[in-house]
Amino acid sequence: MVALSRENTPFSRLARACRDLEGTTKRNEKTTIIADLLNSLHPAEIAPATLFLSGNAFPESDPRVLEVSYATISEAERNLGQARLTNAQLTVLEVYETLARMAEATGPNSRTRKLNLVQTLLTRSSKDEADFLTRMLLREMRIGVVEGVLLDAISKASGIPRDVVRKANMLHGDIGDLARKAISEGVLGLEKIQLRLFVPIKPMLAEIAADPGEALTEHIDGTAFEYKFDGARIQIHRSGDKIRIFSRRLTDVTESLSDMVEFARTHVNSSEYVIEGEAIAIGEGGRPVPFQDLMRRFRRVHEIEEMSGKIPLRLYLFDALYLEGRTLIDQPYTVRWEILSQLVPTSSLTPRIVTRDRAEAESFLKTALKEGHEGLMAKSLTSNYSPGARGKKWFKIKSADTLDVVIVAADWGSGRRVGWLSNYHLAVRDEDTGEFMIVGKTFKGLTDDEFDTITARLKRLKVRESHYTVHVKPAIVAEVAYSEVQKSPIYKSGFALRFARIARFRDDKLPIDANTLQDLRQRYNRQFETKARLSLGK
Amino acid sequence: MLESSIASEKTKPAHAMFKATMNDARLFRNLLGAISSLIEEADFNATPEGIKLRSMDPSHIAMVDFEWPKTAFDTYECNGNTKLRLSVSNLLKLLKRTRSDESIEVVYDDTNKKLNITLKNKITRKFITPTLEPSTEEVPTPKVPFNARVKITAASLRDIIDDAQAISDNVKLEVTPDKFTVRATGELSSALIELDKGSDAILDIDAKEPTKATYNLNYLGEIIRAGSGASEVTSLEFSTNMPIKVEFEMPQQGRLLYYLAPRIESE
Repeated sequence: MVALSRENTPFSRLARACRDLEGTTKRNEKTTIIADLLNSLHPAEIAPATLFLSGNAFPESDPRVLEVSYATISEAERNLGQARLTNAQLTVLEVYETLARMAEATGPNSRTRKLNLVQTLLTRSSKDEADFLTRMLLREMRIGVVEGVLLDAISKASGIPRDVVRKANMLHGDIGDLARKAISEGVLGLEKIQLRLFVPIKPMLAEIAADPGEALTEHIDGTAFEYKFDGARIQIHRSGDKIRIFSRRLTDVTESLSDMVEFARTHVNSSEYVIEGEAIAIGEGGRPVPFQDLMRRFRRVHEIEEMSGKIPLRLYLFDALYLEGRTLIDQPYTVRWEILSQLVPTSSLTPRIVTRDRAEAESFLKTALKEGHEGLMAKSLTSNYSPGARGKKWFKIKSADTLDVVIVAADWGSGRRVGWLSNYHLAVRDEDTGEFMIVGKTFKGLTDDEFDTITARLKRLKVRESHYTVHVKPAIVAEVAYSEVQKSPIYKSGFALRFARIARFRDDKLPIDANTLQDLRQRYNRQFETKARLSLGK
Repeated sequence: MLESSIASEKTKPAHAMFKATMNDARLFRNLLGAISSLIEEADFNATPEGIKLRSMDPSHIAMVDFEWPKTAFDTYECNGNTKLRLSVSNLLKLLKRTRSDESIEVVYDDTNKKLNITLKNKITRKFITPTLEPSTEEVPTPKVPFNARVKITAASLRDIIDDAQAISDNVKLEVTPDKFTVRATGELSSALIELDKGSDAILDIDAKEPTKATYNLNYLGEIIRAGSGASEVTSLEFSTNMPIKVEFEMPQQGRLLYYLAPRIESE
């Protein structure tokens, strides 16, 4: 066995590694720097050091937060200029312990307490150390260490294959402890990692599909279509009297969801389970309340009572991951659903249909949208639950927003579409200049007959032709469905539509009636607002 | 680390325990209070001679050195050397409502690692509190020469420091052979307090040369408030821009002293 280092690795060792990490953009080099560091640590230091490199003081699943403001840090920095009685260097564990105390500080004097603790650390820090600490406290690491790099480094440091490390990480929810286990217990330690009660599991993710048909094509063994709610995804863990609820981001949100705790206690037919579902807020007339209003419940721990009255929640469950000692994630969807439906009342199950009929699925989608929900999830009947993984086993089919755009050019088709002008350049009008600005291209959504008609019309509108592209006079208005407005570095408009698909031609509209660049910017900002609020919700 | 714990295992009797009583429970509480201002958790060393504690605050800016001889207690028994780590703030919480007409008994048994505290008056209150894992860190004594020494009544020093703290975060102390000067300079106001060798508050001044240094008042204030609750006479010893030693005279040969590192002046 290798000689163990003592538990007093100076924090400066970590700060130096950080500076080195910042100095390279090469993934391999980053991996090596971290692996070397991890291997030089005492086992007790591995978990905190790994978390620090990821820019966190505590694991994702840990409800503790530092909440140190920029003002506090700069005040601490101003107060420096204090001599010390010793030259003892800060150690990794001392930093961890001090951060733990910071998280404990709550109540009226917490700011002063935090200020003192920040000062404690900064007083003993060199410039590099102070820099690292400050970034960590402000959650702005910017050293280019993403989770994938950390996992590769853990694999490299422990000699355990990368996919074993990755799989263990999905189940574990604490990358620090994972690193410690990998390095000090080896592959056997990682294999022992199973879904554990009260350790949140990373939620399985879905790819976006344009329509139900795409899912049906992909899932050869059948598809279940479930309502996709505009709510907050939660997982409920229960063992006996203990119930904890975790958010999609693995934060413990039990405190803000007392009504869900009550549900878990009284409406689930077992006392040891992990189930997953979507909490949605119900407004007047039983319609769902926008997501950001729901997220407010997650934030305001102090006003829970008041809020529970204001925004009643409903829970729609869709998966069972663990039941009475048995991990279910390797079971197929149909088995998990069967187990779930035995556990909870039918009214708490997410509405769903199992069908291979495209028309039926599409009408189910319409119903979901009409009721004010986000769309559908399409899940392969034979799929297992892959924590943290995004793939084609699950699709989300969202209510596409639509936009009226003008076709300003079209590319000659290839393959099956040879002879048609089939890839349409979609533009919106800039109100300020009157210019039509391209925001995307699509060849999706048209029937063969429509291709014929539109090709003929475009040829008549031709202004010039270059290469494969026919530029036309802006005249044809099309209603386009899309899933998201994105920033685009390519288009001069600055925006691009994601998953654009022509829904229908709007011959009743003139180009002047089409949506504008200003409309698009507004929609983009609206999306952005929701996202910003979401991240505050943590 | 491992080795040292094995070594102490050998010298220790089967299980160590200690038991001490004091007729005035509030005295006990005040002494704990004097430590708590700087240290949250501390290792207490109980020996047959008494209880000792030396602890550095986490930022290494200040340290406390504290001795409670067995004569400070009304009864004291300890059958060996025992180190126990306690959360001082937690202990003070338990003792918050202590009255001076109450007696206190403190018992520690190494086997269950718990501290039993009994407060007795007309009613008896018992507290049991867990102890923590002692640290292995050795706390060094700062080796610094002291060129100036001022002996002052604890009450006056406390008033002076309170005045200074109202104005600034830092205080500048100056000693000449016949005068002790305290200066505090804030953003708006400043304070200058001069005490001559013959004044009532000053019991003695001894300075080899004019000496001055600046200290953080958050620390110095805590130290002086805490110590003046347990003692009547304070001596300050320091050298120019060096740590200060603040010692409070204790009634029963006890020892309560603090070291505080200076501010580095960027003048």
